[in-house]
Amino acid sequence: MTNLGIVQQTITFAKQSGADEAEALLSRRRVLTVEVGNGEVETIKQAEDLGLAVRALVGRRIGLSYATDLGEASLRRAAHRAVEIARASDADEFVGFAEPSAIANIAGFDPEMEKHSTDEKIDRAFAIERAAKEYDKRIVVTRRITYAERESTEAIANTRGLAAEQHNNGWGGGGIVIARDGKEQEAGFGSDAKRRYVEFDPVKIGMEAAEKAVMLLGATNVTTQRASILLEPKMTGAFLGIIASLVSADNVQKGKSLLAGKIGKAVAASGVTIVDDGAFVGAPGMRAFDDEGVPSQRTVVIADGILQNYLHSTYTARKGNTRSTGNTARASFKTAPEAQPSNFLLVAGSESAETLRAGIARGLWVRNLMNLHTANPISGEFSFGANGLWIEEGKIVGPVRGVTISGNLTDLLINLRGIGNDVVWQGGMGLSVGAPSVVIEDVSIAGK
Amino acid sequence: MSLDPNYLVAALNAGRAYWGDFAEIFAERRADTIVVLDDGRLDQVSAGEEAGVGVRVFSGKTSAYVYTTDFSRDAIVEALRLAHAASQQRAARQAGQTLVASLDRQTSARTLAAYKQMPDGIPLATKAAVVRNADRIARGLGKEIRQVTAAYFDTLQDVSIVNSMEEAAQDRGVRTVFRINVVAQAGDVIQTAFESTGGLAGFEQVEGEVSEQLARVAADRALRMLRARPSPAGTMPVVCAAEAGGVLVHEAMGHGMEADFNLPSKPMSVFAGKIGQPVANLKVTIVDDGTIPGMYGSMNYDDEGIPAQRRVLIEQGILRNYMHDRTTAREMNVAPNGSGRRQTFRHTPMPRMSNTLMLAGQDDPAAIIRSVPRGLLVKQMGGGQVNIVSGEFVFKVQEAFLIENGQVTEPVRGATLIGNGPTILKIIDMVGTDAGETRIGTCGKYDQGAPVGHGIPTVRIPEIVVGGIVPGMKEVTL
Repeated sequence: MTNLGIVQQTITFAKQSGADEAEALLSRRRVLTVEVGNGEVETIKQAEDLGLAVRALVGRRIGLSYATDLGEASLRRAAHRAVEIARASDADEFVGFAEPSAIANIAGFDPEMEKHSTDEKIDRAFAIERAAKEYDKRIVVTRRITYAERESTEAIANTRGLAAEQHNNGWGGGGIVIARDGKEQEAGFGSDAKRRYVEFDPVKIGMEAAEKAVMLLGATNVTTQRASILLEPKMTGAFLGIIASLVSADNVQKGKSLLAGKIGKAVAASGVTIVDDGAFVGAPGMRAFDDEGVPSQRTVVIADGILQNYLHSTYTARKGNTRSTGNTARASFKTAPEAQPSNFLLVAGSESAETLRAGIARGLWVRNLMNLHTANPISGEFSFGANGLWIEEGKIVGPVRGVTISGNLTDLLINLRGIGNDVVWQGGMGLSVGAPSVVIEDVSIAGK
Repeated sequence: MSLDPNYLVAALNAGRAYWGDFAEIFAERRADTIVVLDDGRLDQVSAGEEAGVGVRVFSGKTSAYVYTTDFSRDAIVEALRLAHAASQQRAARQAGQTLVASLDRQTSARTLAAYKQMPDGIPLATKAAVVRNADRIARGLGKEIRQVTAAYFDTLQDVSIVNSMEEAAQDRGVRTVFRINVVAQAGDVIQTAFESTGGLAGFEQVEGEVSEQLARVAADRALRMLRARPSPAGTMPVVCAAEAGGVLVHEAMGHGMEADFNLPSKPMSVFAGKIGQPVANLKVTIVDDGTIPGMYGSMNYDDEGIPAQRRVLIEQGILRNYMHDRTTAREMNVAPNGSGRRQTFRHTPMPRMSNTLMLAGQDDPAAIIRSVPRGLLVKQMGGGQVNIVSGEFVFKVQEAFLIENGQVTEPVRGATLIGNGPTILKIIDMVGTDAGETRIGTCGKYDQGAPVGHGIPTVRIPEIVVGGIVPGMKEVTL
């Protein structure tokens, strides 16, 4: 049976079990992961994975169940369970499924995937390791240098007549390398995510990891103070990932975002523009439609510092009396869909990272952050471990480790003073973020 | 889908040509129920089943892993064939070493949990009542409580593992978890507080007074933190209370003692090559114990079929053991000690912690606090992270108080601790007699999560960097 046939059959089973409306999503994944280290192939992992999620509406009550067995008995059981769960749930006037609409074609699948042997792909993992070693003789490569490719197919149908299927693939790689000098050792991490095979550059990953490790050798601490920070693009992206959760309409409507009620207000420095675009060409999360079958679109979130829009699913759109922005995502087929960013981009400025750095009187060029998962999206408070390079009068003085940078996300956006032209994308299907280097003034740095 | 070990052994035998030096079949079926209450209503209710087979083949030092949701014998044999072919791709064709482990054949006799109330026998409405009660109780504690998210989870996991060394293990694990997050607001100040409980246990882990009490504790803390001033920042003495939880030992010490970071051929950790050497103050003893009945990080067998164990990591300051899976044990020529864990059949096993505990010492907890002229008392830790190469760790503090002239004074918010694991181990200079209350968490390593427990007695760290807001001339608010 075709993928669409399977989801159509499942919604029929749900109707037979008593659902007023139903939706089924079939997700198939194929993955190949190669891990190498110290000249050896450590692990090769390959898999065909699938999951089918079914949601049933009984009146205004909704239930979700799932299965990994696509046999008829299993699908009937999942559909029936979704109906039973719906009956035990709370009624909510806003629950419902997406209406069918025209979906534009995107080039989400790169056929190069099938044209290259596993052997060649193993070589790409070794290329990461080789590039790191060639960068500096103090670099030691140990283990788990990774090349990964994935291919995914989603088919979705609902009882409102929606039926859609998409096929995507992508590449990722990364690894931790160690710089050793005497008794001191530091780690560096490099990574990349690409939607075209030819654009995936193992050498760049290896050099990034090596540079980040070597950079930290000899690092010291600094005194506790307030100073500027220059975030490298991936660290800006880390903060942007947190901002992204603040504009999810789910969080806004539940009062879990400090940006609730701020549409039309200045929430960031002028010059800050953030957009979400599910179909952004080449972005790691590029997709034709979201996890409810709503076509991808471009949504301006912040324009020149002014908050314009939140990101919506079908549910939050009905609740907020607006239209879905095609931002529904599921963490896996097992979990309920939520409004989430797709490809979330801080639009580039005009200055190079070097120019931004030259303008800093005193501050920290942040190259790594730790404990990002502890930021508080409601109060806005954050306190992260950080390391990087200290800057005095625009010049790099030396490496710094063991400090924290702390503050409030609200102040951070307002105190943003420079935006670089060096956008880097990171992430994958699900949340992907694109961000350049930025300068933020007056940040708390705690050290000795 | 059959998890019968005899069926899996027959499939393994049918694929005998593809065993390489070692072949293993891991079959799993799990049923999860999730009930989340948010914004005053049931926000997510879901339940379902998933099942799959993971096949692992070693050829020399290369391992290959193939997984599928198809349980047919043909599919399992095909997975073995693919794994074997992949493992041969670049295998350094060394003679296969024999794996040293031997499984406990008395599988059915071993169980660490009594499972008084199996979750699959509890109606959905009863599970929903847990989160509804928690919401009602938390909101009842004051108008400043603005939002409550309460979540109930249960998992029934059946696993069968068979391998080419004629070993077989079969196990059932049941875990039940309750979590609550409370948001309080007064004027412009918003604070949140989090509590959780979970165990290798049935519905009894969360029902009635248990979850209701956690709702009160979380709401009280969120309200208290509304009145707290920002924590001071800079280097100072810190006392971690016994109820604070053991994120400190988990992050600063535990991860660095996982054997995959300590392989002689590929040393990464600051603890590599230091077995038998002093790495901590004499007062410090740390164990990782997967055998504590009912604890969240406990297990009957690890995910390679090795019985769970209690491992002494640091004994009176001396590094004694790493945590091993079969792969690291083979390379280091020791017995695997029950640390091979995987999140699901989609994941390859690796050394992980279970319940990581610092054992009680000789110091009077009250005297530890009295000894500090000016510093911080950490009452509740939050999430953390470690860099096992440099030893640097950082963790969030959920609740803290100032210590002034040996007295606990006002609550402070927003603190973070950052330090170097090996350094902190050496400078911890007081360890309380109070065996710590254990806390639960989900530990992330590479791409996998694992349920863990952790705990400490009251300890004094004479000097550590406390991160927080640095007072300045310029305060910008919207």
